[in-house]
Amino acid sequence: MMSTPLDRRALLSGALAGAAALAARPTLAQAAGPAELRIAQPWEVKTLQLGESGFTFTRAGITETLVASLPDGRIAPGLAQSWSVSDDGLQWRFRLRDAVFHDGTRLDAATAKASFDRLLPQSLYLKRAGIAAVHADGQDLVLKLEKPFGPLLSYLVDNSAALLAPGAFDGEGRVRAIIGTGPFKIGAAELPRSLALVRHEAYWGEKARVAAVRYDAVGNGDTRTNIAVAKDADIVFNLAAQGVGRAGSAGMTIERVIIPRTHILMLNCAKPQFAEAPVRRALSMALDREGIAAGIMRNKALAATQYLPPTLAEWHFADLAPLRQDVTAANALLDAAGWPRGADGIRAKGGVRFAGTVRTFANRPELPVIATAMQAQLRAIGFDLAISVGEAQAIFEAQKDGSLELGLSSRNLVIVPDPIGTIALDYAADSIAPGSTGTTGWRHDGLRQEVARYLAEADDRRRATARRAIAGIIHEELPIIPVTWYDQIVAVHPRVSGFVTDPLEQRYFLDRVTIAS
Amino acid sequence: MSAARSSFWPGGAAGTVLRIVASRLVQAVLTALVLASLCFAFVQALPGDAALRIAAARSGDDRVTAESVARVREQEGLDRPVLAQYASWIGRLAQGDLGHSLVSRQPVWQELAEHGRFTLGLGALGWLLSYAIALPLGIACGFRPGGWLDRGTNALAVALASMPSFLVGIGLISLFALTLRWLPPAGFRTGAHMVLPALTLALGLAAFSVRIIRNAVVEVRGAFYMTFARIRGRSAGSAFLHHGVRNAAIPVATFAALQFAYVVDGFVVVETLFNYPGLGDLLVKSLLARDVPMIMGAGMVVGLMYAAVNLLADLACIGLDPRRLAGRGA
Repeated sequence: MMSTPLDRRALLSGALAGAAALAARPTLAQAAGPAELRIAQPWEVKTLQLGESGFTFTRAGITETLVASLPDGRIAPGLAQSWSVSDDGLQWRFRLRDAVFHDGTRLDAATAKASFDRLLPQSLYLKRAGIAAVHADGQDLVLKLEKPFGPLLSYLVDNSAALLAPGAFDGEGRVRAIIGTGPFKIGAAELPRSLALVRHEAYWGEKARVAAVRYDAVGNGDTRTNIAVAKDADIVFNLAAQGVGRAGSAGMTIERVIIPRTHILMLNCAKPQFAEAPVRRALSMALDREGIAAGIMRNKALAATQYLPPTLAEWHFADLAPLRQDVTAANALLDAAGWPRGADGIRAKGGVRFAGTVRTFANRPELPVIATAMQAQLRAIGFDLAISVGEAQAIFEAQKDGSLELGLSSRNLVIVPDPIGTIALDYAADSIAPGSTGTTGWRHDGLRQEVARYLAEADDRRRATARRAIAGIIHEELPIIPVTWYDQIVAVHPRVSGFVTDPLEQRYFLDRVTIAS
Repeated sequence: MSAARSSFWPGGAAGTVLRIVASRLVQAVLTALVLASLCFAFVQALPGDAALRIAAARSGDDRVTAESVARVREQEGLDRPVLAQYASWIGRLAQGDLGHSLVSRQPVWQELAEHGRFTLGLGALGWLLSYAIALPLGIACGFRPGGWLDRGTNALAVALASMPSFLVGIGLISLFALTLRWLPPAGFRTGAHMVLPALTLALGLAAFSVRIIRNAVVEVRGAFYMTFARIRGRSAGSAFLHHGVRNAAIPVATFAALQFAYVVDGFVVVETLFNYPGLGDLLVKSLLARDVPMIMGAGMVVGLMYAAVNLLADLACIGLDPRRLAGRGA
């Protein structure tokens, strides 16, 4: 009987030791070095496929494309040091620079072609450029197009077709490891949450100033704020607007830049209450965008005066009459359009009630709040708005089956640096793409012609004309109603210098950052 | 092993214990299968296109394309009839294969092991910490029921029990991470990262267990055998140590096991708040993405863990009170 308590003690000791070992394992495996740049950002790396996670690898400086975009939107040489285009606009020749992949393989036209052959079919936007063939010619990579494609250089920034080494692919052509050419390479990965990056010593350009980067995904906005306030990361991306004051008070430098993302009210133009442009304009005029921007987004400058924000200088036109709240004018427009108010204050026409349900989602926490604000604002013009908060995908499903009335969503306008990629998909395509938050039940042949003209045009002046025409049609027709733009808020630790914000969010330029010792 | 077992369960009870274990294991496997099947049925009953959600989970909402949705549907066999998908899962399971995640494409067991290790580590730490707090407090309160410590502990326990864990977590973060700057506010890399989430769990668990321990001690101290021990000349402490602890431990062990079972399926709120990559976090993301193999695998594993923890609790109770074997054929 004496052995019984001893055995129990042994059991208890075993349990304690086991818990301690489980608890301590992360400590041993993941201790951070002192000279490490610590990044906290919201996006997890779910897979290694570039079509799915390519943006993370390019932003972090792991992968590179033939050309790159600068923060001001200009296209600059990337892995191609120069390029030329044939007179007929069908053949583009890229002279590759002397670069080395992270595994030591030299970049040449053959390896670039092999990468393109595998990734182009699964790319998000580049495959829409109509590349008919890819050839290796000495140190040149030659792309042959089916027809002239003006914004090809912007489409080549598509990070889902970044160049990877032959060793990055498995036998079936799937990406099995990220072996790029960027200033950082992956030292260790704990997908989906964390990447440990180390400097690529054989980088073709100026080497990164920090030797190591810890790149963590922190999905919860409040947690990112806490990390910023505690200065537990050097750079915290996508800080919630509510956290700006606290992070600033804690000594973090706050960088705010309006990025090409617009929160939009989607309308099903096939429904009678949204079919006429004056009615859509009246709905737009009912919205107090400045109030929403100041009160909910905490930045008055985010009130969307037109669809495309000023960050996209070539696509933002000062001569477009700003979208502003004018309830009196909105009511006059509706009266003129034959939508009289009923006894309950809600308008109706031909038995159709001036009402609808807006679908939105909570992944972007501000959207349901904006919907609530709009509910009150639209009531002032006699529109009865109901709100349904669910999954983001439910909006697309309702678009597809025609049941959508309204949707409140958010659109990234620059998956590639030229928003024509998004506009062509959202406003000029025959089918609704799952990732699109464009029009529903709306077709405008004039806009389609301008989009086609822009895509085929190489001449900058003529493209500018098409740009103005496209922006003008969207502004006048309002097949969607822009509500607010969006700003990227970054908290930067005082020990960090050289940080650059890229409004296009293509790259984080971590290689330019230094950390004070 | 047999020597140790016979010393733990006296009197040739090992055979009975083994029979109990075997019977419980069979029950556990069947329960886990039913759980997984229910998970499958519930996910299938959800409205909306699973392929679309899986594609969105892989790339983000902005980057989903018709092609990526079609690819998911075809490659993952989501265009097959529901029963065929279920039969395929059962077939793979019969070969010991839980399948792969439809989002990450990693084997389900690998994902579960990775996240499970974090949850088990944090859960065990929080659980042990809770008893490090609750045991001395509960026993002290049981010795002086109605005293100032008992009343104070009761008030604190009620407050903590009625508070959602995220509030407790936010309070701890505000104090220790943001004000005093002693500990990091989130993460999972070092021992320091585990302190606040473990303490959040521990306080929530201890709020309940301290009252269970206190009541067990009060009950045992009022039992006839304790009075008898005192009559025999033992001091209150000595009587409790020799006759009370074992009896008081039985309800506490049962409750402690239930609490541990509660921690093994992860703490969604705590994991989200502290950016901790545990099973709860994995389960929620899998549910949102309609990652059926992950949900079914997680359902099975959580079911099996519950059963294992309950079995261990029963065995502990039998060890503490071997009379419990009497009705089971020993």
